[in-house]
Amino acid sequence: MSEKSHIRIRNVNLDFTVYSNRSLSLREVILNPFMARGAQKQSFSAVNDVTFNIEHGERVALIGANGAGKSSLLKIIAGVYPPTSGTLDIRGKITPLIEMGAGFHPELTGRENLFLNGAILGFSRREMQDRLPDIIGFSEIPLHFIDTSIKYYSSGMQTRLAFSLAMELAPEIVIFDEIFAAGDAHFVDKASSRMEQLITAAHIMILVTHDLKLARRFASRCLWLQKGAIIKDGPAAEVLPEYERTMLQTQP
Amino acid sequence: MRIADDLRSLYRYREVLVNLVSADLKLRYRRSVLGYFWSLIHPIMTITIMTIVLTHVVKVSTGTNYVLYVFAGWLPWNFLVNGFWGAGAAIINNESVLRKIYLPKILFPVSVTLARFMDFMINLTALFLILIIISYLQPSLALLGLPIAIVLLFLFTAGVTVALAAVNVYIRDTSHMVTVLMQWGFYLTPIIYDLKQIPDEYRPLFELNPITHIIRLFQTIISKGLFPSAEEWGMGVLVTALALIGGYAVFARLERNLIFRL
Repeated sequence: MSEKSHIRIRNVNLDFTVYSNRSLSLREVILNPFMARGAQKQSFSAVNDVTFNIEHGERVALIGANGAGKSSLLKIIAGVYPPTSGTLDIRGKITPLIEMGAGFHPELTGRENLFLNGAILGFSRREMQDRLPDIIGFSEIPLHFIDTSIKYYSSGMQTRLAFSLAMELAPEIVIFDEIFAAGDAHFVDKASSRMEQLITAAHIMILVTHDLKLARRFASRCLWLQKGAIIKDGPAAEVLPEYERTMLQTQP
Repeated sequence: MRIADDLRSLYRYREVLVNLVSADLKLRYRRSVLGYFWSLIHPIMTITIMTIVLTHVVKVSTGTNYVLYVFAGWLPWNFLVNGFWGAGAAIINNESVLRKIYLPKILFPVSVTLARFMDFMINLTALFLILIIISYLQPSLALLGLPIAIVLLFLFTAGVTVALAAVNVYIRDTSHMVTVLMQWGFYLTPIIYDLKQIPDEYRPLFELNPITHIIRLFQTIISKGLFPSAEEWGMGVLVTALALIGGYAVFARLERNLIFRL
């Protein structure tokens, strides 16, 4: 944890190939190899020659219109998408809080899901055992529910469980994609102060959001993306007002 | 080396692997009354019906105890097939998590193989004890070869499973094709009959089937009570190495862009 974290991105491109039907069926491959390779594919560039550094201690918001490539860029940083070209140099353990509960299995119980997802997020069984009472306590899930399949949970309960697990992490690099509404007003309140602690403790935070209030609150720097490229990079206090003006103008 | 990276990440993510395997095993029998016993009832019933039909109705003779012969061949075959079937869904079923968090894709086919392997080991042990108790099986020194045969079987299956899991993301026909091919495979592998019973002109076909060489090790050890010959071991090791290297090569080639094809 003492080592400094950084993210260095050089000329990163991400081209998506869009297939009219994603998986080629055998028939297509055999009967029409040219069709399958040619006409059905279309390529578009989701991230276009992006270069930037994020240093230890920075709190960055990625902003931009829908489809500007924010989430794709985030997924490249998280290692989910391999970039088509360009290089990544990342130091520090990344914890993606990109949609919580992504790894939840509906048939498993709350407790089993905590162990599975804890492992996915990098906790050993023993570490999870130590943290379990805190996680369950914070989630406010009634104890008689914790050994029930989570498919019987309300969506609020599922989100609370996922959030409580995520908040147990001590991430070096934390990345968020559109922060979730976690349960009722009381829980949201409790959750956001917990999140602030987590962000304060992290080396680097990257946040993708359309909520400018959130960006203003958490980020010190903004990267503004348009059509996969960075068109503005600067202090949040400068970039955000300009972005807001532009967005309001373009709206009918 | 790619393979060193993958082995390292399997180790680094071992907790995930353990959780995936235990979830798989738990979920399969949850809420069923007989629970895990089903995985034992299934082979016992299969071996029973095969023995009745093939020794009393159609008269097949392997020159050895037929129950033992089918047990020795069918149990590893069943593991292999279950592994191959599981492979199709291994990566596809975990799409939602793979789209959000980086996880080495190899975890999923390996976890399927391990879960089916656990089933196999439990069955093997239980049936073994039963066969010894009813004195169908005399423990012999040949059994010392069994652990090696089991390791080869596991590695062979893992190699093929890893490749199938990746290929099926690109070409979804793969899992259907596997079902059909394994149906053929059952008859093209000496499981319910002995390789000796095959007319000479057809024998090369059966010997080209790599699975034959894996299953034969079990039959020699368990059913004949002999330690496999150098040639039998050699063929077993060869087909395992081919499956492992070939399977991994296919996987490694497809892995990088797999996420875009889910």
